[in-house]
Order: sequence, then structure tokens, then C-alpha cells
Amino acid sequence: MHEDLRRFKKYSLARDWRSRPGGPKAPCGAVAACRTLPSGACCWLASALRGPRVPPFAVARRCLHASGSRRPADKSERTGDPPRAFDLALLEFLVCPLSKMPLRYEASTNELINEELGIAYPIIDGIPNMLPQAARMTHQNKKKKWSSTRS
Amino acid sequence: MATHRSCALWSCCGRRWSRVMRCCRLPGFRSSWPRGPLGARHLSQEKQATETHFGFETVSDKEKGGKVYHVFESVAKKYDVMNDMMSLGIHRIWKDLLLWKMHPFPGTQLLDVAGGTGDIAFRFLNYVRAQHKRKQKKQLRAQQNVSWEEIAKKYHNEEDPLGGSRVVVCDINKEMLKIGKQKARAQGHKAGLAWVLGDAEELPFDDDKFDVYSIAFGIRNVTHIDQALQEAHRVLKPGGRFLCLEFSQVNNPLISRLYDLYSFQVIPVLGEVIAGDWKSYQYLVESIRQFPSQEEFKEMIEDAGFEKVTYESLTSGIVAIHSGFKL
Repeated sequence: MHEDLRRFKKYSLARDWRSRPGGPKAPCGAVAACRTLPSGACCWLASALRGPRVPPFAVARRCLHASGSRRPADKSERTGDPPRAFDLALLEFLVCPLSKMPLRYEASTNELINEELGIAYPIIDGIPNMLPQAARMTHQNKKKKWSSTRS
Repeated sequence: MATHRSCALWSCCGRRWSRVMRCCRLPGFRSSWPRGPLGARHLSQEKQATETHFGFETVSDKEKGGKVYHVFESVAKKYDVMNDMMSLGIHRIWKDLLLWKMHPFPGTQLLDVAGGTGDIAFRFLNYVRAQHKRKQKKQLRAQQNVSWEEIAKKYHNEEDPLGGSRVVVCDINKEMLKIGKQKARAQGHKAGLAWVLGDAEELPFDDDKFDVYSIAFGIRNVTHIDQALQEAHRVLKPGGRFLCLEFSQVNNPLISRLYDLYSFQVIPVLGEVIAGDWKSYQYLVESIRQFPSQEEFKEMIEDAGFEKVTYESLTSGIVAIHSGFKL
């Protein structure tokens, strides 16, 4: 048990746990106790209160995994691309929900464009947003409308 | 009362119109038949009742979509935890039963609508993977006098552990899809899974694309259920299967009373304690009561053009699995 607490401190779980907004959701009586105990023990106490079925070592392993996985996720958020890349294989299924015509993937703006209607659907976090309300009009459509109103 | 009558009238009109639409779906006719806003929906919108139910409240059609969106946006993070608490873990068995009924084989293309957090999609992938392994083992056993090298080669040349199966998860709510994606990453599902933000009433998929269309605990939240059913019919391949897992009417009076008590006294309280959201869970419980019974829903599915429609009540009618085929 003491070795586990030392391991918690070593991997600086306490920092992650304290910095979470709102703190852990533990019953009030335990909060005062948590303040006096070392932070690693607090983490264990909170999780024990939450889920009595889960043994503390499994929680420790999960915490370690979580802290380990958080770092590469942050890195990818900073660089931006690989987990959010749009899967081009989806294009064989996707069509415009309004006209049911096939779409073209535009890599520069990361959008799916319907040439006929002149609308573009955004792709956010690798998930294409195919709601008609979310689509924006492309410049070609605006040009066509402008020239038709002029003539 | 008036709203009930107008709703009934509206559903009758909707049914008749969908029958006409079905007759007109001949191959030569398709290209000339107008689609999108100029299609059936525009004509049917002329005689709309404009009012529908949101739980036990009456709201306009336009409002309902937004309200349902807010409900799921707020419950998304605690959705899975709450499912376990409310159904005492039984929802996992229901979803497993849906998969067993579906019995997909390697190569099946599944469209999971309103499948935000991905429960059905992940079960599908696991099922298909297990099937593929079983098939491979059988093949190896059937081949006689095979050398160890050849057996090792077969296991190494594992290009697609899913055998060509794919699942597309479509949901209207971004938060639910986010949670689903996180779960997929945590559980290690990478291949064969795609996420799309789309409306069940206006699916962004081409005709005749999917082998199975499944919708688990989602269709009662759709504003126009008949449109969702018609879209389901459109995107399925001929021979495709429609599967719907949804809360339904309980057939046993004693269990019905206990169920009502549990639904209205316990579930909103759990919602407040765990998720901090009483109203959303009140809506969820009320929406169950507003959903049509097994027989009525079966008729709605038949009106959309599905055939061989059957249903199976689970847990004495608390939940029902409806199944139909596009033939």
C-alpha cells in the first residue's frame, strides 16, 4: 500500500488530480480527510468511494494508463492531424443529404463539396458534419447568383 | 384530445402518401421523380399538424429537434453510466440480444443510426471479428496435410480481421459522437469504423448501400418517425434488414405498475444525483410512454415499405426488437 502511494507521487498523479476543475466528486465528509492525506491516497479514496467493486491496484493501473495516454493525446492536439484525418473510404457512402449527389473532398479547406448546389459541409475532428444547417455556400455559388441577378 | 386526433389524421395521411410513393418507385420513374425539398416532404408539409410531443409536453415540430439535442448534449458524458444505473446493467443484455438477432457475418455493412456512444457498433465489430476467426479455424481444420509453415503464413497474412465488414455510426449530436470516438480509441477499435454527423430524417447516404440498418434507443427521439423509416428503407440494399431496439409497452399489469413507479420516482432522482440533470431524465422517461406500442410501430414499419416485419418483446415488454426486410 505505501509503495503504491510512493508510485503515485512519482508519476505526479497528484498534479493531474488537483488541477481537474471542480475536484473529485467525493462525499463532504471525505473532503476534509482528503486535505490532510497525501494526494495519492486521496485519489485512491475517491475512486474507492465511487466504485467499491474496483480494486485499488486496478485503479492505480488505470490512473497510470490515463496519465500516460494523456501526454501523446496532447501532443497530437498540438500537431493537429493524424487522429482527426478524414477517412476517404467514407466517400463511397456519403452523399449530400439534400440532393443525394456525390461529394468531393477538398483537402485545403477540409470540407466536402457538392458542386451542383454549391455548398460545402465541414469536417470537424475527422467527423463530417452532414447537417444541411451546417453547410456553407461556396464562392462559385455566390458568383453564379451574383451574375444571374445582374443579368 | 384534439392533438391526438390530428396526430392520428396526420399519420394516416403520411401512410397513404408513403404507399403512393412506394408504387411510383419504378426504375424508369426514379430519375424524373423530384427529390429533396421538392419531393414528398414538401407536399406532406402542407398538411402538417406542426405539433408533436416532447415527453408529456406539446411542442411544435421545429422546437422538438432542438430540445432533444439539448437533452443529449447534457447527458452525453454520463450516458453510459446512467444506462447502467437505470437499467441495472440489463441494457447490455438487450444490446447483445440485438446483435445475436442480427447475426452479422464478415462482409456485412452496418449503418447504426442514433448510435452516438457506439455500443452497437463495438459489439458488431467484436462479433464479426470472432466470426472471422472461427471461419478461419474451420478452414484450416478442413484442409488436410497442411504444413506448419502454411498455417503460420495464413495467420500472418491477416489483412482484414473483419473480413470486409464496416460500420458507419450516424448521430445528430456532436457530443455523443465525441464520447463514442473516445471510447473507440480506449477500446482499441480502429479499422472498419466511421463516424458521421447526420439527421436520421435526411440521411447523407446513397440508396442501396447498407446490409443492415440498426437504431437502438434512438427512434423515439426522432421528430418524424415515418420519415426516418422511409430513409431507412432507402439506404438499405434489397434484402437488407431493418432492426430497431426500443422501449415499448409492458404487457403484464403488475410489472407495468412497478415499472411506472421505478420510472417516475427513481430514474429522475438518479439523474439528478449522478448526472445533475433531472429534466433530461424526466424527458427520457416520458418519451418512453409516448412511443407507440409494438403493434402500432410494426404497422408504421410496414407502411415505410418493409416486409416480413416481426417484433420480439424482451423483459415482458419493457423493450422490443422490431425487424423488417427490404425485399
